[in-house]
Amino acid sequence: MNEKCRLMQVIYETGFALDDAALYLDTHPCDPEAIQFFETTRNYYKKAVEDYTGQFGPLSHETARFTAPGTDGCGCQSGNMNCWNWVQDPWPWEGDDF
Amino acid sequence: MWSYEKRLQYPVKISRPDPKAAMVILTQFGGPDGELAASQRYLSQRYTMPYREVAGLLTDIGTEELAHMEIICAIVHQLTKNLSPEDLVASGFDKYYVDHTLGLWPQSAGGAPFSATVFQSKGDPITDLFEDMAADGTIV
Repeated sequence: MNEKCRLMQVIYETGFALDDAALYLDTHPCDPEAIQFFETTRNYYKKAVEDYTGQFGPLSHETARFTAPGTDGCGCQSGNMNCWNWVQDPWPWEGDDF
Repeated sequence: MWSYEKRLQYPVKISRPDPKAAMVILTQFGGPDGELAASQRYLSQRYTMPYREVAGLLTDIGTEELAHMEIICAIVHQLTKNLSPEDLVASGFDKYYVDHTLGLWPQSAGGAPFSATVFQSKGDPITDLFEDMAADGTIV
């Protein structure tokens, strides 16, 4: 498993755990164990997202970058400003990536 | 307000197309117990939910149902890649294809278009929660 897949696997696993933990916390907002679990898991999730988006492209508008024309499949002319890289990577439903 | 995260909630990678299976799975997108209905059920009911915890739960579950809808659509999309005309006819997917080609359109496996009549939003918390339990089994 390469680094891209490994990081995305961490994002899948921690992201899923956060989704479920949030539902539990909605109706058990004072459970210290659940709060601890949520905080710890969210830290792993945030770190994995940061590492992934730094190396392999954005997962949200917030993490989208502006890359040099001609890179990452960008079709902008070389004289242009840097281009929006949100749409260059495969979409998640394409199934090509992982 | 919602923001898009560029990943599925659970990964989908299908190596062998199967339009016959796609025709059945499609109902989980737009059929009577599909994810589109589930998402709209929770997200519509939340406005009149008097308990803050439950309004939060309806918001978060409804949001998660949207992610489930994307997973189902990814499955159908990948199951219908690279089909020959013969595949279309042999699988029975031709009846869907003639109207939508490979576009995703919310319908049941039997071809009934998505309908908001498959869920309720009554403004009464007990009624709505019973409706949720009936629709989503033991999940709620």
